[in-house]
Amino acid sequence: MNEIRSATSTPQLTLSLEEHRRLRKRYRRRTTLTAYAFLSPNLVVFVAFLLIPVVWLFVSTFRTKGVLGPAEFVGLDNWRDTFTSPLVQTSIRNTVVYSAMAIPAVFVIAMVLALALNAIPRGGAPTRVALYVPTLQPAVVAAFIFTFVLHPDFGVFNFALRGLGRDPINFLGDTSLALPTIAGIEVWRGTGFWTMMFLASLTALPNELYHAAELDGAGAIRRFVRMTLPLLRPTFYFAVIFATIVNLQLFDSVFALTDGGPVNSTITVSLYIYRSLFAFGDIGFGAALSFLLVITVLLLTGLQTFLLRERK
Amino acid sequence: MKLRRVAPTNSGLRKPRAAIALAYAVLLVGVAVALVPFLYVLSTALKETTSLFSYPPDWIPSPVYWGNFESLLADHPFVRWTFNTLFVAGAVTALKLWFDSMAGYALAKMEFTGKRGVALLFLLSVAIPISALIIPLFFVIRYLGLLNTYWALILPPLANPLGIFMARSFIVSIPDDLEASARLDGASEFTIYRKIVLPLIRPGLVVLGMFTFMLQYTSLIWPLIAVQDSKRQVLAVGISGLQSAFLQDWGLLSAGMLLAAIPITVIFLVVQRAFVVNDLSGALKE
Amino acid sequence: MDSGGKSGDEKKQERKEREGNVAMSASEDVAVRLIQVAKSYGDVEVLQSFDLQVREGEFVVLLGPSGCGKSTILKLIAGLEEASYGEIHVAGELVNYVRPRDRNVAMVFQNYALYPHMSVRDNISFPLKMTRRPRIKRSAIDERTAEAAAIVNLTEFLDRKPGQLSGGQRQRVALARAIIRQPEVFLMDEPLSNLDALLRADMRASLLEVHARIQKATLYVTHDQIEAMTMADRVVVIKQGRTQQIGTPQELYTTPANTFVAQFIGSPKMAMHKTSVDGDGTVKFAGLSLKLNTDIKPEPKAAVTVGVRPSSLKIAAEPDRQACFAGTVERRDYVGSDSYLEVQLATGLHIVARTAADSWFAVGDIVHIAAEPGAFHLFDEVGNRLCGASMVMSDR
Repeated sequence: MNEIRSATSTPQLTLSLEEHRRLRKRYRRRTTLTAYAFLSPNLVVFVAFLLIPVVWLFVSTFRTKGVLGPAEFVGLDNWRDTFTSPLVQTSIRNTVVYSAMAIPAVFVIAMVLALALNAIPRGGAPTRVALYVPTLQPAVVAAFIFTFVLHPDFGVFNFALRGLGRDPINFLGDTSLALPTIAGIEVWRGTGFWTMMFLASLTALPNELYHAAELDGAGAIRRFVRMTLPLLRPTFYFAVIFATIVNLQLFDSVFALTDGGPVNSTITVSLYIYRSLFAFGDIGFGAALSFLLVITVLLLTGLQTFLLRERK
Repeated sequence: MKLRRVAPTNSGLRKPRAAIALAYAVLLVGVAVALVPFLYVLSTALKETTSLFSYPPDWIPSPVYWGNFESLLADHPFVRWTFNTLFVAGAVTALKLWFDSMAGYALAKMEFTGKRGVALLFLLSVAIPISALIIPLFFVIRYLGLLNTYWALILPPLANPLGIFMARSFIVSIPDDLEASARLDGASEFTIYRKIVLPLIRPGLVVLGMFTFMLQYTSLIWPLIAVQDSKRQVLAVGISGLQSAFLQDWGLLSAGMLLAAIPITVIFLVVQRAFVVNDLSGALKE
Repeated sequence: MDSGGKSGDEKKQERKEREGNVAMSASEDVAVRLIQVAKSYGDVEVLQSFDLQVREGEFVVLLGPSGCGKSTILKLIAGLEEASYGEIHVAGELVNYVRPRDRNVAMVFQNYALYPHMSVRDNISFPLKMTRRPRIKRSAIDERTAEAAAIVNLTEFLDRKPGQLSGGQRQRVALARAIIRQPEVFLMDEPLSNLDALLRADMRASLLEVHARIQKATLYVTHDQIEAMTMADRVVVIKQGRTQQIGTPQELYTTPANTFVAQFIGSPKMAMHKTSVDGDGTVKFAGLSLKLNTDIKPEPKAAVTVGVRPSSLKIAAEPDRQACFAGTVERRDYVGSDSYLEVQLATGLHIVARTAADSWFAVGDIVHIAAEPGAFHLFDEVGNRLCGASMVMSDR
């Protein structure tokens, strides 16, 4: 007599399992329909302005000359071309080099500024706004400002150099300087965004931990390395992936500043895609290159997700 | 994303004076780097382009020359561009907040068949570069007969998945019991969304809205292709047009840059508080 | 429990596939009936073939340690979770596939689940405003809101936001919001666990008052045995998704079905001593024989457990007629109304017994222990109850 209920007979179901299955299916269908009603506005625009273009693009990778001439089926020719074209390799190299310069730089600068903002007792609000102003500017505006500031004839920088008796530097006209210069301009534009991001995470950190650490006699640097950085892990996780996605697609700045020049020293994958599609009208090639970029971005973000998750 | 409202001050610890002084010094440099280029642009906008090449340069223009601003407003539809930009960015932001909060609710709080598939569709689309989509998008918009309309500028940016994930993360942070309670109280899913979820994620939506608005405000390449008609043109495109057409007229360009920066800066000033107290990084947090 | 009434629904009967189906009781007074309800998340079974009937107006407490599945039962009844197997009936109707809003149940949550952006008034009236077909008139809503607020003494707080209320007041808002719908069934998920001890006692009384007033079936989840014992008409003790025992608080205390129930209920908890049955079928405990309150003779040599309720053992200074053991006081725990002494018996066994709070026994004293009726319980090898037992003096 383990349980009292076992003294009475076990009650049985009133409906057969078959009927239960049927009713459950109907019930679930209704909740699914509700969910899709909520998703429908987004699904419509995604299908129309993303899925259809992507499918069109994918089909184009197997054809030649989509716009002008009659489209011909060329099999994997476009895909092969993307692997053999030296300019593709240049553009990939430029994109990677650019990202490797810009991302760490902007993270370090933004982190320092965020820590400083978190430390000051007053004056935070106007400082935040001032730091954010560059982020608010369209890439064309940033591009213009720096074309101007760095101008070999009348830019402030070169005024200063001339004052020191040096020769002016043509930052955007020099094949070895142009890409780092673009990275610098993007860092200028992106610093505000990442500073706000890191600051938001910093202010959300639990105070008690810091008080405890301070009582334990942990120094400022030790506290930062041992506590702040680990606590900010989720933010960095987001930041690294987001920055990778955005920077591998770098387009606006290059388009406005150098248009890939001089001598293709600043051509990026995105710009090359644009050029193939518009300037050369080589839709098949541009489409194949787009997919190459998409696959690269997916692989990289997948890899980052994997690496960052592993260390938990 | 944390929805709590914490004062965006320092962490409450007593910091040594030296550290605070260092922090101010660092910020001073940061602010200088951020703003000095604009001062240079301001200086240029207020003098005649011909005086640009004088050496040593006269930083503070005297007398102040207003001709660049006059020419910008008189010879170019600058006001119209500004209106177009604000209208398009505003419409995209409003629609995007509506769509994304709805989708975020479904993804955060509902169980349904195909959920993983839908989430995957949104997730994968993050990786697709806009430069690749322009040509097919152009065909879609032309097929719909929307070229040279505001719709051409408003509709395609709506297919941006980032806001869906942000909205989802705001909504995930609402305790399940709240909407369970509303469900038992007789509220339909839509009522829960409108009466419970929306009011509670409003601080987060302000941030998402600002972010969306900013992306739209700075967007260049799609508006450049989608709209040829100068009457429908947005600021970013209009200004880059000034640049190519009047390459040498630095004064006029500077005036345009400055005026273009004003509306978005003012809007940011209004909402900046929300920007700091909300942690954007929650977007991808599981 | 099983009313054994004949099912009025013969058609449903015929549709059954399985053999041996017993006629379901469709008696009018059953508010909630769970039949073989199971719930699992992936491979984890949180609830296994759970049966329960709650009569109209009955106050049933689901009691168990955290994570035992008791909250899941409420969520299943409310429709917030879907049962993996089994049927849930509310007021005679199968509700497995009915939306939560149409099930006519109200729930009070542990963390109150108040809408933080709405005033108390809007919180309480929310369920009425949601009612469609027929829509409730504005004036009726106001009236009923005022009435519900009055029941829980919140009339003067109607215009505040939940954030401006104390924990107890928030709890009462949640209660008013549940009452106002006049549901068939109330579900309460540890509603008092976030309150401090004093307030909890008050709220217990107010909850019972409200229950007495509206007389609706209530399922109340808690891990606190005091709440269960003081409030319940019947208690369901649950462990790891399985029913251990269903009964009145008294039944659980006097005839626990197994060692788990025996130890979960009663404070200080029942002490367990492993021993075995002698060759002649008697059970020895601390050198004495136990007289079993039953005719069943346990099998010789079988391993058994003797449970002893400390609160049923009384300390006496001198050996008297009832005293069974003598021993040395090892430890003294003062609990206010009483003191409990840990006593080492001559056999080396430690047992805990009750004495008056102001008694003068101290560590090292020799004391005598007398057993009240019901002090001893006998459980078999796997922990199921065999019978109660009392002490036999003859061996002395």
